Amino acid sequence: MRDTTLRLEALRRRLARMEGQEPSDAGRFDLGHTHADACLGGLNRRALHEVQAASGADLATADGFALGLAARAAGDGFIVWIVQAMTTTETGLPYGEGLADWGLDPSRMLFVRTRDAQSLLAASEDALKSGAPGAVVMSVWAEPKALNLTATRRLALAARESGTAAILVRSGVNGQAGASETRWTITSVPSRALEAGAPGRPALTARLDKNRTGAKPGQWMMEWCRDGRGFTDLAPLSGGLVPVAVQRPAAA
Amino acid sequence: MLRLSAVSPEAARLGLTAGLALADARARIPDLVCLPADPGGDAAVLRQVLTDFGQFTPMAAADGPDGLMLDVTGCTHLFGGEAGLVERALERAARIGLQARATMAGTPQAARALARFGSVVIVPEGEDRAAVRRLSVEALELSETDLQALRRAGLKTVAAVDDRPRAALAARFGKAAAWQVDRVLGLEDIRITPFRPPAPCVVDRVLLEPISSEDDILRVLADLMIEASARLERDSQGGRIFQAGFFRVDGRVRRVAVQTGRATREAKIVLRLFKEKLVALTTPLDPGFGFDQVRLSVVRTEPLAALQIDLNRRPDRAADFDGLVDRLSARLGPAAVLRFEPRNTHIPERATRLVPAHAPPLQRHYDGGRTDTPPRPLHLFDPPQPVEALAGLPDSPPRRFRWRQVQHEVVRAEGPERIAGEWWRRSEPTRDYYRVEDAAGRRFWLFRQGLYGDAAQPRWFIHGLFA
Repeated sequence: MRDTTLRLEALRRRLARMEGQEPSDAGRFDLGHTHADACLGGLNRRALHEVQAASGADLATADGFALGLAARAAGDGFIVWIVQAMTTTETGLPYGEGLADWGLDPSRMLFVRTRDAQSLLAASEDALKSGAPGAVVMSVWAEPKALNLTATRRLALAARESGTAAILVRSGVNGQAGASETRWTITSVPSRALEAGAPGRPALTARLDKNRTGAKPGQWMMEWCRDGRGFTDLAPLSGGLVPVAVQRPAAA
Repeated sequence: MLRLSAVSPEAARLGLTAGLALADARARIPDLVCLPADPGGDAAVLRQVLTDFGQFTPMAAADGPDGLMLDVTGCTHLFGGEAGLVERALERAARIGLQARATMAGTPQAARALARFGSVVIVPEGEDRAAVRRLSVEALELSETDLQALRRAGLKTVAAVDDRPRAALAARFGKAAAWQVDRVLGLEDIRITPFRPPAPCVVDRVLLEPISSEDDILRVLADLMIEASARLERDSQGGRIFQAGFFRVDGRVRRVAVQTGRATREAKIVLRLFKEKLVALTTPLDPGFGFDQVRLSVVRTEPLAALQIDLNRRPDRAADFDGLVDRLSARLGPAAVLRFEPRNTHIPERATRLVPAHAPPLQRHYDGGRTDTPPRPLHLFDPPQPVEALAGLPDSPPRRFRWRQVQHEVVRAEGPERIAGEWWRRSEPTRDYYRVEDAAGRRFWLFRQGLYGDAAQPRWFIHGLFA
């Protein structure tokens, strides 16, 4: 199956070149993080990516990471954020001013609230299939039964057909098999302080648990840079904290 | 500078005129009652009056923002002659609560000039020119500079202008001015374009055999929609709200409406919305012994020009997006499909509102590169949730706080950012906001409500979560 996709992608590029357009790099998007990008070569836009919070308290950070991915994937396209109502009681409602401060344009976002996972999945699939948004972020609560292998496969398929990145945010760590291309576990980490001990840029550890294509799983410390709309390397702190080494196989 | 846009007769008697600066008017009359101008509201009222005045003649049109023009040719005998009609119209206007002046003359422009600048009510036939000649040059409604030039040349009345050769006028003020003079004098006649409200688009299907299966219902709706879209296309209209009425054999009627984000007459799109809506109904459509009539009405229409089909078209993402919003709104309800809208306030929970994506957009935008205030959190609790916090000194950030049974040690903090309540809303204490980070790297937005030393003990709340 992957073979056909790749061949299709190659054909699309050839067609684009024949029509005199830039060979578009529509297939992949990068994080802006030098190490991670070097390791991964970007993420597939036509795929489902899972982002899970290491613990309930990291959910806001996981949302931030997912929105960061969505911003990178969508470019200046619309972002649709579909949320199961239960998560908003836990983390509060998305805040327009805060999204603007995150580097997103809230007027180019659509926020959809659904009661249960079932309707969330249906709405997400519709949003993905329409091909209208640049990225779809889905926030599910707990471990819904509806979100099984078949459901994730459907989402992945819809993402592949339309070229809209699908990003699924889970409120907890989950070991289930899914059709996602990558799975990330997000933990918040102390930020680099600004002057007078103020909290700095949002900082997090992103652990890549699963990657169906290419690079081996790894772990990176990142911070989100609003102005560049990208992740940058979180330099090791001067004191107190040991930088997490990039996990690489010995052979690499 | 604020200016008066209109004055009441009482104010006019006190010497106030439209165009006067508000500050000057207030200085003259300190207890002046002012209301903000509402051109949209005025236009809506005028539109209503226009529809209402359709009783006098089918040829009625709006004339500027504050006038109506009625072509009553052949209608006057129904109201007891010209005088009777004018009287009825003025009476009608007074009953609606308007102060109105009316003039009947041979041509629309002459009537307008006489109503606004003269005092004649009915001009006898063939005497338009004579009546208008008595007016001052303002009645020509030329531009202010042209009027001034006329006055400087000693031409103070329309008669004086009329006596000059037109060629000289055209040479000095342009052809348009010369035409305008002729029109006002009634020498040249132009017809008005009457206001014709579009006929409501309702299509009906009476069924000999009652239907009850969903497939049949959708098939009938599809037929009706094709008919409706043909009618809409003929009128260059598109629908925003479509309503289907299902008439049951036993006399019950169930109405289901769908809304679209932009005007459309695409049968396929509307049908898909109906399909979504029928599936999502909380109390499903109950056919009982069947429906014997289905009616599709286009409740709200908007002008929609006919479109040339572009065969080489790139996919239209904006249209796709509107379609997506329509479908999701039909399925989940408009309250579930939302967009962010900035508001002009510094109170955090009111600075952004989530409004249905269908609501008409405001012209305000988020300014992304805001640097004058500390960053805002991604998530906001509304209402804020109380926390137990321990601060060292007054005005210093909390050292630790307990939220949802978890103790957080504050490692980094920024603040206070003082946000005072809006003075026009009482009982809103001042808040001091702090951006804090705990030992594990989680970032919170806390605030202390009230100041130390006030009567009530300050209380702490968590208002949002940073990523």
